Amino acid sequence: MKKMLIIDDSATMRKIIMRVLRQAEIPVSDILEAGNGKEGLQRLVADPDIAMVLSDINMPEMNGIDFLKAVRTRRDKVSLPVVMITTEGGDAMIQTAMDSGANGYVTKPFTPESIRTALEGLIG
Amino acid sequence: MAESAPGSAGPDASALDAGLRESLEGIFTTMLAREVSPPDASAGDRAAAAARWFVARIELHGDRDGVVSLRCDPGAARALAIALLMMDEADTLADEEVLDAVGECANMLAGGLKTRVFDPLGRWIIGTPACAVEAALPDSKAHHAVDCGLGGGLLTVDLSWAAETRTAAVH
Repeated sequence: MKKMLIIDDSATMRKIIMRVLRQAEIPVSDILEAGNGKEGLQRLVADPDIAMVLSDINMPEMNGIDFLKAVRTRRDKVSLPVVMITTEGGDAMIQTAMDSGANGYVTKPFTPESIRTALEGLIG
Repeated sequence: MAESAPGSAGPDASALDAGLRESLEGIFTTMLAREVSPPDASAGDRAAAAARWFVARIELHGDRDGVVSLRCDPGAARALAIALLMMDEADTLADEEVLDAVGECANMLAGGLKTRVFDPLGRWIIGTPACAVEAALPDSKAHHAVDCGLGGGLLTVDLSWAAETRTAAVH
């Protein structure tokens, strides 16, 4: 069981993701929340037990791609699983996310199955 | 791939209508577990009497500037929030929660539209949702179609260009 961080500027979407994670029976011990990339980065630095991140892309203050790039510059977070979960489903955005170090990509709207598939192999 | 209309930048009207409809259907079937259906016969009257509308708008910028809007009367907005949040009919929801759900639905709608219609055309960007509870009815001249019924209420979605408006008719 691992600790997960969900980053999304919509409190409603964070709730939806948490409920879908439960529905998909993803084994997480604790779920933390952040409203943008900057907050997410602060959470991540403050809590070394966070073992996986689900992050939106289109957010104010710091977007998901900038968050991802910032995470990958930290030596202790190079291999931290980060999955992007976003409305931006275009090939170019997916490529940008993967090139920036994302481990997976889920497009909104999503199903419990699509979340489970994206997290498969990343969470033990 | 969508083609630009002669004399104007951006996709043509049929591509936009199809893109809006498909995006809405994707949200309904994937996250609300229901089909997009026309409003029942009396939904229009109830909507006309509605004193409040839950509205979310998202700006779209590219070769042209536009706004994707989602408007729900209170019945549709509550049904949308309950379905998205997987809550029970009897659960209490604050206006803020309902509005946030409408905003998130608009966000998915605009993202779906961008992916389906605008991304193949080049560099288009979408903003973040601006949400409000508004007293005014949608302008029936500018937004001429009623889109779909939800929770006994009315949900409309449209894309307005800076200089003109196209409305998706979902029937």
